[in-house]
Amino acid sequence: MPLLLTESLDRNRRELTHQHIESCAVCSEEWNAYKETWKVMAELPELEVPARVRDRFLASVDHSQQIPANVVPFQRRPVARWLTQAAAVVVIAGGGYFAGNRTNARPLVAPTEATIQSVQQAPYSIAETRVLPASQISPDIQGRPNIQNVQFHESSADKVGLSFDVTSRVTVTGSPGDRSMVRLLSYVLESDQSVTPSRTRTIDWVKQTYSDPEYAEPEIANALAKVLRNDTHEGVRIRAAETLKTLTPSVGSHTRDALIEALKSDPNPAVRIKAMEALAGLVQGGASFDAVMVDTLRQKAAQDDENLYVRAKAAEVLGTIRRQ
Amino acid sequence: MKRTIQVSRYLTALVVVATAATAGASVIVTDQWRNEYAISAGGTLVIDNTAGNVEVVAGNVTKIFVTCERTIRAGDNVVASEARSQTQQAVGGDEKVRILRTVVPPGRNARWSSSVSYVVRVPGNINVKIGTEFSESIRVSGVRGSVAIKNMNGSIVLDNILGTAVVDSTNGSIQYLSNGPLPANTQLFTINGDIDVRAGVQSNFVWETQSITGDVKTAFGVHGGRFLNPKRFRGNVNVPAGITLITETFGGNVLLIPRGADVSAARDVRSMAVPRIARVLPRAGSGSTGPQVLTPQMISVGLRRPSVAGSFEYVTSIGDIAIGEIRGDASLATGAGQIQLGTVTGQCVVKSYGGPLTLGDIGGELIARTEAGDVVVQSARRGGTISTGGGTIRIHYTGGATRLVSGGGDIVVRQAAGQITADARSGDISITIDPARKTEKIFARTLKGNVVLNVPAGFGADVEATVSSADATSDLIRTDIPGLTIQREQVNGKTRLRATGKINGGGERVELYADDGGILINSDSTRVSPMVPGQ
Repeated sequence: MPLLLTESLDRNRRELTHQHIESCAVCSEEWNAYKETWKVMAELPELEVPARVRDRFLASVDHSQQIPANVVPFQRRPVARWLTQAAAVVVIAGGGYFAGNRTNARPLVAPTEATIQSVQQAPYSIAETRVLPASQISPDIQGRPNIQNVQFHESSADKVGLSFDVTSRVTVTGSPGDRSMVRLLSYVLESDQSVTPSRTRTIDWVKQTYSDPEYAEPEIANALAKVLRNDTHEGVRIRAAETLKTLTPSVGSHTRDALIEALKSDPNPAVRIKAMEALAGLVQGGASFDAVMVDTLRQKAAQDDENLYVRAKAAEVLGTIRRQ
Repeated sequence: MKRTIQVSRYLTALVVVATAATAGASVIVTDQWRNEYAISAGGTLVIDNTAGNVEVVAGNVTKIFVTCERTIRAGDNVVASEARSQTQQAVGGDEKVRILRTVVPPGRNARWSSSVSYVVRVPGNINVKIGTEFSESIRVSGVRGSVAIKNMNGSIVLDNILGTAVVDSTNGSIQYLSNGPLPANTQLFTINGDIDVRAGVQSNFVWETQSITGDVKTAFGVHGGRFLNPKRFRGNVNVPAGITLITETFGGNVLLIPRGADVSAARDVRSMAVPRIARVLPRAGSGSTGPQVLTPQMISVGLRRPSVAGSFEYVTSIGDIAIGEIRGDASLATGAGQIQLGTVTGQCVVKSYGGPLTLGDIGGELIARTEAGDVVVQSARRGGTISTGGGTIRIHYTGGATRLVSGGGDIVVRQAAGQITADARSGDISITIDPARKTEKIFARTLKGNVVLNVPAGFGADVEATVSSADATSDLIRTDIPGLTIQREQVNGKTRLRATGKINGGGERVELYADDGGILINSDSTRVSPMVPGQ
């Protein structure tokens, strides 16, 4: 693992190590600890060693300069070491026998059949690559999975490998508040997909689910904010802004900034309208106006070449400013 | 910083008033201090206040005399003490620029609020700059130098200012009073407030003004008046002599009258300009006909009615229109606002230059257009033309030939029982054909997005589906209907897939185009496709 950590392994060994870590809970835990330690070490400030300390340290380790030439280094004799080890074994064994025979109540443990109470299943990892032993795959292939890009590997005389891309359907169930569910949805929202309907549908579903204040999730709002900022598909941006309108309890500063940015410069007037409405919703929900928001709204209200509806809405929102 | 305080004495009158009725606070603490500072002729006084009134009065003095009153509202004495320590007055600058500033922590404190009011007596020959957020009033009088004021809330009064004046307010009304002629360039801007200017009858200046939703009236004789755009008016008051008065408000009214004149003598500037020809608005029932003149009588601020018996025409410069039922033809337009209609039995023409359209059951042909916003139609029984400059178009049912255009946004037709022509600049198009239709002419094109066509079982058509994308490996055209032949070619660095053929023996022509997206043709419209955007 240290070699993996320091990126000293070649590609094949690195891949094998990763595969093992992925399938072994103990190593996985250890690997995470390594990474965490490595990360902490990286964050520690580098301190300059004082010259006095440095000199003292070098002086203490550099024996060649201290030991005179006429001094012969002392070497431990192997025979003496063996004798010492043998004596230690005799003392421990004899002492153990003596102590055992002096004890009256010797506990007797009746042998019982070993049972497994529960098995903690390893979390299902949605990863880019994975290696599965053939023994873990059901011989019954369900449905007609789309298998492409097939490659064969011969790792040893009695073992072969078969690599392929497969499109499979995975269903993840859980509460909308589950961290894994939130992460997965954020990933789906943020993924740059050339075919957008799935993302459009995701946004619609997010709107339905996370508009419930019980499931207010800043991470979801942030993911939508990224869509609003970056997606080139105007229909998707419209939906993102529309959905953010309904997620006001979970909107943080990043999301608010994205809304302000959309209001300022999105070329699609519908996006600007919805961004404006989302900001109005924030204010109605108790968010305070800050200078950037006020300036943007004022700029919009006064902008001659802006759509009149956007200007009217900006003026309307500004009109709600009261001292808090 | 070299302080030039000549006299420094604090007069503290600490008043603790126990009253639960005022702003929810049980303790109100007020204290006051006075001070005086040197300022040179032509110097500038800057007052930067968060909350509290400001009054600056010019007089026959050579220094600045400041009286400051701090008011704390808090739940108890301990909190009030904290608020006092966090609301401070700071004085800075020098004789050229003297700065009076209220220092409070940023953000809102739920437990207390504070305000500081300033009354400042100044020499007349200085400039004044004031910035506040929340106040009831700002008043500056008698200053011969320039005055600049920016605030969020609260009225602003400028009285006999001889220098240039610039006022920029968000929600405050502005009153400018001059005993003599308008002395210098003056620019008054507010978003939601009114503007009231009263100057000597002998004033000579160019007046440029606009109010988006309010009235602009004057009792001065304005010559050569004209509208620079639908709202901005420019004209000459008497003989212009290099002085310009600009008055702009979005939601308020503008009034310009000679000092002492009766307000009722003021006339709307629209009557002083050559009538402007409005953009063409087709009249309901007569197809596309000549233009209508946008007269003052037609300007209003919106309309809300449960029902209208007979045909109905209505135009407003700005405002929402909401009508439950129109038993006849409808012709409605708003310069900015949303239009909501329940039922229209006849032909329906709706136009908004900005704002969403929500239309119910339209019995006749529908012509709906918004420059910005979504369009939702429950039922267009005779089809029509529906377009938006940017927004989503969603049609639940259309029974006739329908043309749909989106400048940016998705187009969704849930049940099409007539010919469809759909064009989206950037957005997905999803069309579901009525289950009873055996063939229908369809044209759908998006320049960025996907096209999804759901057809009933047995639907016959001559299909041409073309996809252009930089992603050469994608399976961009998908269908579960046999009979299509797909060709692949490279055009300008993109992969173009073209699927052609007859489905179910052929029929009307179905043309589908998708750039940077894919095409999906489903054969069973009752099944919700996984690619169909939210319907």
